[in-house]
Amino acid sequence: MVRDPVAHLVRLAVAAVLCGFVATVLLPALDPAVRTARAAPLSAQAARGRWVYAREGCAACHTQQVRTVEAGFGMVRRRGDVGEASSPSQYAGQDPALLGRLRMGPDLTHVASRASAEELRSLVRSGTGGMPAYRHLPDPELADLVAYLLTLR
Amino acid sequence: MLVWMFTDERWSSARRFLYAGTLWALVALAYEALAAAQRAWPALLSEFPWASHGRVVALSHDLWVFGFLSQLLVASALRVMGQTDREGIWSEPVAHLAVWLWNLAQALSWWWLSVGWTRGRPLAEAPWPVDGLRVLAALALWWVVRNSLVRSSRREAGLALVAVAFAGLPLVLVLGKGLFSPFDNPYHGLLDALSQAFLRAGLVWLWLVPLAGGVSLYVLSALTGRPGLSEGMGLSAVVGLVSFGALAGPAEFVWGPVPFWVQTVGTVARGLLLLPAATLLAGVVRSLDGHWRSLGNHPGVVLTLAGWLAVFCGAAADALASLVGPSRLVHLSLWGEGVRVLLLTGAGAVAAGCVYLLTPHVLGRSLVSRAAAWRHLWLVVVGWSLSAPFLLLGGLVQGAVWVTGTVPFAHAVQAVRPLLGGGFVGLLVAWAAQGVFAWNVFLTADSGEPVPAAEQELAAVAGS
Repeated sequence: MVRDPVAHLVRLAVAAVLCGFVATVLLPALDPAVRTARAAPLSAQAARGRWVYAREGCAACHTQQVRTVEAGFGMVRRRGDVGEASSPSQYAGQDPALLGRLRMGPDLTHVASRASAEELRSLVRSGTGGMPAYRHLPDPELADLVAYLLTLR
Repeated sequence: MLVWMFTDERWSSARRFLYAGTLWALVALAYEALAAAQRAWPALLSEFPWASHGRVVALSHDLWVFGFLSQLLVASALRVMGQTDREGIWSEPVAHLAVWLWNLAQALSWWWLSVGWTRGRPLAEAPWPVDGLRVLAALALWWVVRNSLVRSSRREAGLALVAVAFAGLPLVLVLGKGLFSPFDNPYHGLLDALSQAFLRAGLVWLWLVPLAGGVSLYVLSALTGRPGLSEGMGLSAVVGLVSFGALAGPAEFVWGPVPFWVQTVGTVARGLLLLPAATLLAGVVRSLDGHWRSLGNHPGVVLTLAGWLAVFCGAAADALASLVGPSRLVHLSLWGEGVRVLLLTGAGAVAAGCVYLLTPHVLGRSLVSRAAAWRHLWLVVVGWSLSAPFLLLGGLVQGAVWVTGTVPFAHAVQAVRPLLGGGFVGLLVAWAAQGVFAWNVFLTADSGEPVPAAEQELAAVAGS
């Protein structure tokens, strides 16, 4: 396949894919803002809650990234709801990173600053507004999930 | 049993991919419609854990990309690659290995995602064993395609696009899914989010679009006798797709917590992806030059053309959303869902159109009902007309409410609910269209009129 134009194109494609991966995934690792961890490590219970969050697909409706365009002046219910803009260091060590892509429910980046543990528990269990009730969650898992949500300050 | 599973009968692997893709399409669109319904009526089926919205969304994405689109396009691609020297593909048994691995992975993925075993990523979220099976299947397919190509003397743009897609898929899966995740994932944090974005962009622009482009250009050229892309256009399409597709991921994070230079790279690449998308659309139109009056006899051709128009519109809406101004409104809104529906339903229409065109060549039988194929086409068009515009409009409404900074979030949710209802109806119609397609395909396989062996060759109908 040495003189084959299709083989050349395939090699070019493989090189382009690798270069793209390096440029958009690995090179940002060199950015100091990405490498510096700002968030405290999660407790064991909160880590279990984070897994429940991922398993139930909460990120399908809730984002965890404040859009800079709204940060600083936006309010959902009261001052502080939107909070400061998200920074790369907030996500250090998270696997998977639960930034979300679609905001059908409120952004949860600073949810613990506007809701208590009891409010969060009742919200998840009973649902509200557009959010369905998660009655199938066992009590220990609900407690884990709430513990995780309370780390989002 | 093994002899049946790995038979070397000509085109048998393409037929199995076609049957499997047709069945998975019904499941995928049912989940997609359920997810759309739950957006409009959140309490729907929420008491069942396996039907909770988060799990349904992850499943619908996985089923749509891997169960439906990939398998239908692979079926057509294997038929096309096997035609290049008229001897069939390099090895039917190896292709059958890919069929079984791919569908085993899909079944496991369906089960595991339903019970909530997931890596929690927003697209194709299956756990690592499923990814491993998919990578093996992709490597087997690449090996078959590569050796079929080496054996053949034909070289043209359509084949190059197909080859590039099959070479790209294993790389996209391995890199984007996080190769080291079971052990020590080096991509944690924001790099993990960026690798997810690389995967999402890669699956569309390095896998589905080149594969759909290669297959449709080859088939249309064979049927009309007119080449779709010149050498230069073909080269620019391939180079554009792989270069910009590999860089387009970070455009998802415009206004997000990603270094500005990374956002810029992604935004520029996503805008430039319009060029290869336009080139592929132009190639399809060129291959139909002089045959416009006969389109009324070929629903498969019209479906393919409509699919490419949808893909181009999706690429344009995507590029628009990543620009600084519009992204202030639509970032993270339903606009992204509208783009996804346009791109994926567009690719789905191209895949179905190619299946209709290749029916005599893969199944060895004439299509049973051309009228049903037309009904499929019109249902698809009605489905798009209801779902994609409503979602795009819903994104604009959401964004407009958010940037005011004073209107409660719940009001934005209420404002878009009627639009979400329209989107659900559109996806329900698309599901019905897929039902018509499946009925037509399986009826043709069962009782279609056999086509003479000579007419089963693609080249034999050139110029028709």
